Amino acid sequence: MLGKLLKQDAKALYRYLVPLHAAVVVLAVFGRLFITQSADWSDPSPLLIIYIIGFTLILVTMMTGTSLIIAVYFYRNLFSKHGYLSWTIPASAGQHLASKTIAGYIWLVLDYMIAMAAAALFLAVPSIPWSEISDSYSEEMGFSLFTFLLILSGIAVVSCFCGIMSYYVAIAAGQLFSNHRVLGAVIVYCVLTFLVQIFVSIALFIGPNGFGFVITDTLNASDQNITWGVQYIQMMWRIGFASLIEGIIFYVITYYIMNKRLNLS
Amino acid sequence: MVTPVLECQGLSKQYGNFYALTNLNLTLDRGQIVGLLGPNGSGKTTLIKLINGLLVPTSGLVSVNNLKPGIETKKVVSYLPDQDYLNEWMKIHDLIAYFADFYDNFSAEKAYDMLRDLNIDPAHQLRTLSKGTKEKVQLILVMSRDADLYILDEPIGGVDPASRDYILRTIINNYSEEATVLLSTHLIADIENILDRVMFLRGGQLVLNATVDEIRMEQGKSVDSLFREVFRC
Amino acid sequence: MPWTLDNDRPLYLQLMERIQMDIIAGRYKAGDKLPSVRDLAIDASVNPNTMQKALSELERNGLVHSQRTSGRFITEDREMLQQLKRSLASEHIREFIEKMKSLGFTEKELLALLSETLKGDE
Repeated sequence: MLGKLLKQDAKALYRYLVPLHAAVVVLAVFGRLFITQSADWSDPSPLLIIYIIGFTLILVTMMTGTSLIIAVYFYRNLFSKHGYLSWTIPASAGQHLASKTIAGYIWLVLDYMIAMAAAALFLAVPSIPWSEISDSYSEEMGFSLFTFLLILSGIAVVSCFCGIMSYYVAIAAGQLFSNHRVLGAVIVYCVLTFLVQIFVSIALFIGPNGFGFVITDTLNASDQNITWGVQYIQMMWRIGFASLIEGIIFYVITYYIMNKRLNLS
Repeated sequence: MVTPVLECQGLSKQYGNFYALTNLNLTLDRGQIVGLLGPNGSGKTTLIKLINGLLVPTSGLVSVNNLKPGIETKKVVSYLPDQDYLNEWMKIHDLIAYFADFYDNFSAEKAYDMLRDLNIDPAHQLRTLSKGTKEKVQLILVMSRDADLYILDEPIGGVDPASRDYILRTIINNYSEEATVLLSTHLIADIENILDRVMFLRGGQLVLNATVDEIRMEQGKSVDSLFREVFRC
Repeated sequence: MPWTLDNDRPLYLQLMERIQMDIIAGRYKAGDKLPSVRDLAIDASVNPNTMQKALSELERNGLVHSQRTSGRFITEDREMLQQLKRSLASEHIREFIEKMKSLGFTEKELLALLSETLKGDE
């Protein structure tokens, strides 16, 4: 059953997401070929700056669009009139949630990877002195730029889980209202993001080696052997861990609402 | 002792201060065609959604084949909602494939036969069909399943008289002693002859549960007339 | 012929009457096999349970009998069929006479009118 649901969800999502991402990749290729490859980076023209800002906006739109498409699909498939079909096929709430989570998560990760690839396509031009940048970076941080990006990606992949679950839990929570369920979902989402920020901040600052203490001490960083790099890694671990915990909590809450509190309108 | 196909015990559904259903008690045996009748807001749709597990009861129980609404009951309940609920962009072929995939007791052959009878081309997308044709397609999908309980919410509402006859004939033809059909409708006079039993709902309560013959013999009038009397505005 | 059914009388009685009429009119002959319950029900647009009830009643009256797996058959008892034809006819005649009487006809006037009409139709 889960497989069948996954097939349907994947089909429904890629109909929108593949064209969207393909278009962005094509734009990245064009951008590289016609703009960045031959641009003068030592003395950037205002036009170049505009192109870079424009491309960044495109990437941001793509990522926001992807999240929106996934969230809207979750809502439409389960809680709009299409819910009458979804909830009468012999699939459990758990199966529905698992399928939507897997499909959504995979796409969010793909989306992130394609964004990184597009940025790389656009910017990894020979005229930019990447090796110099990388070297000076390694000096400061204690590890290479590449490692940095790798760690960032790892954390991003984990936080995609939290990201997708925060959409789903907001939509599910919106269903608890009797009216204005979409509005309810949006409000819950805003409140939740706010709370998540607080939670992450707490996670960063509490406990031993928590950054509340260290950051004040970093003014005397030269006294210690802790480089920026190590601090950075520790920070990332905490953020990643906090994201994972949040994602799991949201998943459980969403499951509970779908299983025990379904009231299709 | 054969298990009743549907049972409600003290079933209630509350929205805030409003009781959509109050303390409903009923038992439906197999092999019947039953009419669920009542004005708008009487709780028919609420009851139907509870049976399908689309709502959770506030109190009381509802069971199909002695099971709470869930995966096992959804396998044996075939439901036709009173609204568009299918993806308009899908072709009829795709819908049949979908139903065949998710329901083991769905017969694609039967569906295609009925589409042919009604001259509907399965290559069309749903959104290109007229309202009446769309309703017929939705009904065909539901009736092509070999279910224990068919729940049809206004199956003949927007349909022309000839197709209405076809639909009623299909319901009769589909009749089996193992299955029960629950029909919710306003068009009582048209369907009276195919009903075994009727249930009247008013204000969320069951005010009548009798066979059609009982009503005609004891009250000397048709179900349609009785309905108009009971629910006089 | 379409089954004309009223909504305010029990259906099974009306179905019985109709089948009886079909038998008397010769549409079903003595010993003929009746269509299945389902086919009859579809033809009449009624619930199969109701048709079943009608047929069971006809069985009780002896007009119809069922062979285990082969289905239902009209009785071979021609006496009974004649009897049925006669009783149905007398019912209609009685009804007719009552109606005419309520219109003010005497029995003599009625007989005369009947002969006249029948002769005229020849």
